[in-house]
Amino acid sequence: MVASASDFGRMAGIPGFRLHLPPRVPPVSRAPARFVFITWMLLMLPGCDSGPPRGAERTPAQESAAAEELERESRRAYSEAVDAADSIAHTEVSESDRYGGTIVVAGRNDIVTLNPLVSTDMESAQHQAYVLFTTLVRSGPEFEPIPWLARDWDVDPEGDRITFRLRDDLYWHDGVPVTAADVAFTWERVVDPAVPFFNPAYFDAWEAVEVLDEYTVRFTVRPSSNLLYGWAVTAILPEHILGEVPPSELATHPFGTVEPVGSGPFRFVERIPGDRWVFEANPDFPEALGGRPYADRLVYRQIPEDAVSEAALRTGEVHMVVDADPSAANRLARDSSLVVTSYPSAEYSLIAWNTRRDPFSDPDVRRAMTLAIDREAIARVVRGAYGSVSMGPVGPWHWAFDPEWKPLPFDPDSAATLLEGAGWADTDSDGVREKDGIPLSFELYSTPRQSWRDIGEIVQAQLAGVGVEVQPRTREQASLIPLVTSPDRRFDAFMVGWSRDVPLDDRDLWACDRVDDPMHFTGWCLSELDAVLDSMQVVADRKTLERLTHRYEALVVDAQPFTFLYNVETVLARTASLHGVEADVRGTWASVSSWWLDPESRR
Amino acid sequence: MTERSGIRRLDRVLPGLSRVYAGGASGAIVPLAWVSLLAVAAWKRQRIAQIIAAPEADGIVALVTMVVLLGITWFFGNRSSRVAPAEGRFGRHRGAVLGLGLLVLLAGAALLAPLLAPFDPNAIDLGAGRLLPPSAAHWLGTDELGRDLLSRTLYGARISLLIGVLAVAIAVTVGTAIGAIAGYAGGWLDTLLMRTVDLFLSLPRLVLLITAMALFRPSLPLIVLLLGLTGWMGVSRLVRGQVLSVREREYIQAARALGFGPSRILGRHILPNVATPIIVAATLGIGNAILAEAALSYLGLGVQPPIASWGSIIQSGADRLTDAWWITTFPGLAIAFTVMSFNLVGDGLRDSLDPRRGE
Amino acid sequence: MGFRLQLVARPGVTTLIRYVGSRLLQAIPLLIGVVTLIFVLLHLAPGDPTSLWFHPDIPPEVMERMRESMGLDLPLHQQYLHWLKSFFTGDFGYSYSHFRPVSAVIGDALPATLLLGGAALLVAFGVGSAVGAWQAVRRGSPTDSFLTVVTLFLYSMPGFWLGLMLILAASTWLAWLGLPVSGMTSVDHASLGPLGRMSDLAGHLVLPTVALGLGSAAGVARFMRGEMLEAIGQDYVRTARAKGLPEGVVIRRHALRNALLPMVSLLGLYLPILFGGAVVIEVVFSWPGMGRTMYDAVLARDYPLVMATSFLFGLLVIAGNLLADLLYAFVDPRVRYD
Repeated sequence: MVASASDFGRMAGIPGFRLHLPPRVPPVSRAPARFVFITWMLLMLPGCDSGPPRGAERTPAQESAAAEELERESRRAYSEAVDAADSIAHTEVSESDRYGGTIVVAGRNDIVTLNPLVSTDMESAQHQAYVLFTTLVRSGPEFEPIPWLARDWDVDPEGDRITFRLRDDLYWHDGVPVTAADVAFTWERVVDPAVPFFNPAYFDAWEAVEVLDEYTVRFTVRPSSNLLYGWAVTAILPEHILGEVPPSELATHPFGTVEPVGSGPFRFVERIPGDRWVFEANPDFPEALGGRPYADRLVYRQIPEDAVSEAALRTGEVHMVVDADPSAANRLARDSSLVVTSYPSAEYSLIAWNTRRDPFSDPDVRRAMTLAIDREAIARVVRGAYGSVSMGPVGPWHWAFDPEWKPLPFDPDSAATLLEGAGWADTDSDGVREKDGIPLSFELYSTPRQSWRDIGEIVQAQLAGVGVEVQPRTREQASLIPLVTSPDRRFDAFMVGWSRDVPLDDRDLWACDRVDDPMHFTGWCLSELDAVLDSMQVVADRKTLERLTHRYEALVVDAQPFTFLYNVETVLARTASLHGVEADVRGTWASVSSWWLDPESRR
Repeated sequence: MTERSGIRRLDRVLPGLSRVYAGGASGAIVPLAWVSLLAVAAWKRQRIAQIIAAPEADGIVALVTMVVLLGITWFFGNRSSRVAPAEGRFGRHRGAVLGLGLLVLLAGAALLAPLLAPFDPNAIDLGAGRLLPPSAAHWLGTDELGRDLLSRTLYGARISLLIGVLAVAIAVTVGTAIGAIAGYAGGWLDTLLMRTVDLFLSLPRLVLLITAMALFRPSLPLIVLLLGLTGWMGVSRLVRGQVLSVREREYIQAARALGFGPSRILGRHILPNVATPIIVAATLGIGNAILAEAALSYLGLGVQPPIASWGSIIQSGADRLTDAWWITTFPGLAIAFTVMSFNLVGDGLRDSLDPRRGE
Repeated sequence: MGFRLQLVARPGVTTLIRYVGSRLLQAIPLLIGVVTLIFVLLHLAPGDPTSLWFHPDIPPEVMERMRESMGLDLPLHQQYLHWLKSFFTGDFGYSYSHFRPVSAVIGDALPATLLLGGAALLVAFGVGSAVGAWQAVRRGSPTDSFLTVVTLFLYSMPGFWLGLMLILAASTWLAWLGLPVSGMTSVDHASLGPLGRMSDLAGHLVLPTVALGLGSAAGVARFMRGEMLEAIGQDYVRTARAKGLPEGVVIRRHALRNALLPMVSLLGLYLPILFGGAVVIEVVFSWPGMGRTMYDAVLARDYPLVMATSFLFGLLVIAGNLLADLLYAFVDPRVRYD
């Protein structure tokens, strides 16, 4: 894990460094799209990555691209108008009148558990970090850690011990104070081999814990480039409730589904599985962390069908739809009672080529594939104005992203030349190229979601144009995964979408010594890249890290083991009566305490 | 007879006309088919000329189909105008004739899709051609990849009908075999087979289908096979009942006395006598198989892209229900009308083939 | 429907208990067969519950640990025996995808499905037999022909497509009706009074019930029309008419009653059809019932949950058949009307 949160790294690296920020709600600004919320989750729907690629030059010839630019422009104007209207509302409704009402948010997926030790999905992670629980620190605009449960902390001169001093005014929802014992307990469980915590690598550099007093806790650490990042995304758990539970039983403990007790701005009220979670305001939440949230109640509803959630939004049954369908965005925006906004997310989509097998063992063939696929068009079809061509393994929202970078163009002629050069020619005039009598034909796997089917058919049509036969194949997720992860790797190529993390530890995708690991889909590796990736995990200096990251991008993009398809921008559709929603790449719920409803629209 | 032969001369002009006169309203289908075929040939003459000038596989198939269909129509039209009693009953069944007419149109449209479809069903247009509402150029609009929905629905008819017919063929074969053996053999074999039927009926079909689809490489034959192998139980119960009812009849006992083996008795004597309900069940079953395939495709488990069945077209529009209603609406209507036709014909067959009913 | 010719003596209570008992005994091996077959198929199919947590950043060791904690590292026959043993002791196991005991998941989903299925059954038989009887009385009228076409069309329609069309209608030109198109209850359900809750639930029931029940109603109407026509043609109806009874009385007292009897047995046969059809309808309308639970569970390879839902589905089919047979045996027109 490397890269992004340079300040996390700096803290560990510079002896005696001590961060002293006044405890406050971290500013959540929408403009710079550089925050990162990290969630590890496979979102099989082409998902949500970020905004217009910086520095990308659009080919003027493409009128569709121009139309897209126009759409972007009008979206920008629209979003400014929305902001203006929102700020008017902010001045017209006094602070004290914003309290009250029930806010209902709809998402496509159910939150199956709020137990941070076992959940892996975006919505759960956000409810844990921002709604029900508190974290030790929070991420700031440039991924610097901001005090939260920890009032402040210091690193001792040797750089191998870090001491946190905690707030003494934060209580569990059952009235017990949150103490250093809870922090130590959380860490112990997260690194416990008996607990299936999804990303123990966050705490690889954390070696021992010592509770100094009720509100002081000290950890022994090793240098690392993203030392504090794990603490910004891992909710602190109540030791007085879970302390007696054997670690192996934590995953199935009813704490996460039936009776969660948190310490965050909202308290758990009830859950109807497959339908909703209901939370109520925590009146005792410390003023310094934002105090009691405006809303009396917060409800999360699972509505899997987009058409249904849209209808519910129009009838006012829900106030906000998270990750709304981009094709619905324009239509929704025309409704004067609704507001559509978006923010860059960490999600992107790709085609992975199996370089263990012909024809994709040849980098020229892989390059030709990328050149022959019109990724602008795919982004437009699948994401409308809410996506952009993905250029490489690092998201454009990431501070280490190379702004000079340009995506490979859509250039079928060059692709044809590359294929000719690689020995693939259509000798029998059947429209498909051959080499040594073997036709250039492959199967492209994906899950059956509609967007993947669309992409598969676009790729099929476009590659047919350069004499390549594509057979799109869909399999449900549970049977696709064994196909691409099992040691025999009996596939040519597959499409997938997932989220990037702030720490850029992609060794499981590329490292030469992990070629047989399940996640090494492509089988492509490079000793130079191994060295780069290894250094990225330990180097703390931001300039060096940036340089290494650029090298990483260049190596991967040159070899094209993946064809990077598009980045996703998450669409939020809400009623005009809901205010204060300021979402960024850290997620939708980061600003949940300051969401409020127009007094007349409360129920 | 002179009058009749005079009428029959009409058949030279319009095959089947004499049968309309003779009272078999079902005969109206033959002239209808004849006129429609000629109309299509006239309307699409440019396309036909184009195919003849530059032959391509799909077009040739369609042309050959056209010629064959014309031949069949001619043959039926010039057959004797004597109307069998069952055919007469069928012909007086207005709904059945309507259903058969619809089916003939549908099957013709499916077979002649390359001639009829105004566009290539898989030609994508990612520019201005996406999600167009129905218009003069695109009668049923276009989908999210700019493909013409009329063309896709026409080609989809081939897939949906093919799946329906073949799945039912499998189901009827398996069901008849098991039902006949169980009914004829009786005893423990009967019990065993009927318990198997109960078992299959008690299994949730969806679980079977999803797991089986995951087990094998997804393909069109696999879907047909799975739909067939999960749909035979009704037929086998039906056949068993029928076999039981004729098993002890005199002519069977006679055959047995003559020393014929069970397979010959079953195949030559019993099955022909229980064919009627099987045919009816098969006709009704095709509709059900089309519905089942549609539901499977709606859940994303159906045919593989870019092949489109009606169900998968509906599914592709479900996400855009309110802003592109036409994608979901028209294939759904196509399914409803097709299944309705099969039901009409099935009802008509049941009433006309069973002499005790329908008068 | 030839059963009216059957002569079944009304069985005594003990005979009944013995009959039901033997049928239930027969059902046991059947149900074991169902769960065994499902178990084998499920485990043969590629993928396991850890597919849910698939991500490049989750280390293989964590996945392995999860597999062990679910007992998936054991040989298949041991897993099967283990499951069967706990199943017979009433323990359905733990659902990996819901993070709750299977019994709790089913405890939530079953009432929802029973409610929807019950409502759809009511619509199917209420509306269906009324329309069918009405048609039979007006046989040959333009309304009869019109209704024949309409019922046939509804009967031939894919239920999920009807559901989508209803959603389309309810969110566009019928938006003024304010019909909810998703879920089982409104957001403020808990804060409503008892009456408010009921009307809220009823509102959410409308569209899925129509989508699920209308096709069946059309089927029932077609069946009912036939039965009713047959009843009207019977001797006893002619006799009643000849006695000079008013036509309304003849229809209601004699024809309708007789035509309704076979409907009772149809009821048992429609049970599994309705619950089977509920899978797709529940997915379309986000109804938190058994069908959707089973579908999601298969996709997630949530073995214990699939097994339990499949078991219940099989039970439902068997119960439906038993019910149909029992009613079949009991409803004998001769006993009542001769």
